[in-house]
Amino acid sequence: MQDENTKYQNAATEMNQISLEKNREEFAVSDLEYTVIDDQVFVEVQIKNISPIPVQLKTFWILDKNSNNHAYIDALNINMNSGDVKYFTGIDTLVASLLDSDSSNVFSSWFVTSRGNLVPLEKQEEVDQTIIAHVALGIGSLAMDFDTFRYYTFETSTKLENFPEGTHNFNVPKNEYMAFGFYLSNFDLKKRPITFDAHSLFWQPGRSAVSEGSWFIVNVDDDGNIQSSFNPYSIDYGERRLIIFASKNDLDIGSFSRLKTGNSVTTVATFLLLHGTKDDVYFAQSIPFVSMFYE
Amino acid sequence: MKNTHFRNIFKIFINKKAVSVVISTTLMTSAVMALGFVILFWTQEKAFEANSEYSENTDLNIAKIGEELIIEHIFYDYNENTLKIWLLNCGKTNSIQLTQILLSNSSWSQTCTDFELKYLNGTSTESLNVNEEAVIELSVNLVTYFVNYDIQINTERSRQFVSEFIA
Repeated sequence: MQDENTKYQNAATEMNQISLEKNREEFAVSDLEYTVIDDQVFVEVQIKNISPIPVQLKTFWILDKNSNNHAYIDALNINMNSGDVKYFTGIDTLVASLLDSDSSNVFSSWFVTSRGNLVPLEKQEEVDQTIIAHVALGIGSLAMDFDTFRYYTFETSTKLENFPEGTHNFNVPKNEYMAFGFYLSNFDLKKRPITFDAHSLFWQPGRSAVSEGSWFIVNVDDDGNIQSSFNPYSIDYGERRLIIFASKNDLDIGSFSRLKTGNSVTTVATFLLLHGTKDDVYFAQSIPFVSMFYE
Repeated sequence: MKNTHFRNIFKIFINKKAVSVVISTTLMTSAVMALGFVILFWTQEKAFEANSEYSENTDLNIAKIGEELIIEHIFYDYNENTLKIWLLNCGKTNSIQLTQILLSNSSWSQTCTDFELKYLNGTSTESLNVNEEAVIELSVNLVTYFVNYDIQINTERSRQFVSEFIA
């Protein structure tokens, strides 16, 4: 009787242990890419076992959410010790046949481990949570990072001083020729690249005329030289890019000239008025921006 | 003298009272002992049976708690009205047999007992061993789409595995 009881207790303990180990399985997934060629979906991904125990990847599943077709690769039986990284690239790329698939379709995929965990493969965007908090969800696709705001003084009439660092401060000298820069990130829900045209500007309302309160977007060379014309540029989805506003005039309409900050000691509001295209459709977004203090 | 001797011997044989006590005592003792042995053997037999039954029950319970099934994927084919369920035995017990599959949502339910378990290579199987994967195909008509359905899989050892899906 005692032996039977002990046997049962041991079995129960073993199952608890298995359950505990199952809960400890954890992975870091990165560099996930789906490519479709002739109804063959190529899945490239990097997966790291970040749990303290060895795991076995048993089966891979992929689902095309558009067509609802699915496929699996069984008998993978890939053993990964703690800390091991497995690269499913090159000849190890996971290939599944899915009828009616297209690269623009949305895919979902996951591994099944031998302990019975389903490991979803999701693109891990390197997204700063602070930036995400600043995205005007449902309003626009671009987010700005307040902490990267900087202003530039001019070394010459067309060259920024201390580019690209500038001066990180919201207290800005009054009545000075000035340019402004900050990082914008593209978080478009449909993951389209966003291209800015020359009509994008940094606007400080309340000055006597619009032209007196608008710094238009410019291209800046690595050495800080401002180009005389504007060549539209893009931010890809998930990309973060330094944008510079320095011209008094829209460079599609007029020529470059500098603009001074206001001549009063005061706090002013500023806005970003962004204009361009998202893929091939027009894009515009207004972002309530920082407040500056002219001193 | 000789006659007296014979008479004494004869008395021994004809003194029925004294002989009857000895025999009855012997007989009763034998009967009690026999009965005692019978009871002892019967008790031992019963104890052995109980022990075996307990052991069997323990083994059954161990096998039962060692059963673990997970659903890898569920797919409902709207054209064929079939529901496919992919399973993995990720427990410690071999020979998991499925007896019933219950499907339900807030206003509908169906119990399926007639289904076939197949390995992923298409071979039929009665049960699923540890680390084996299989698929079940059910004929069901899910009339309401894009709602949550509950699924419960019952096994021969009376384990229940519950999950849900959207069809």
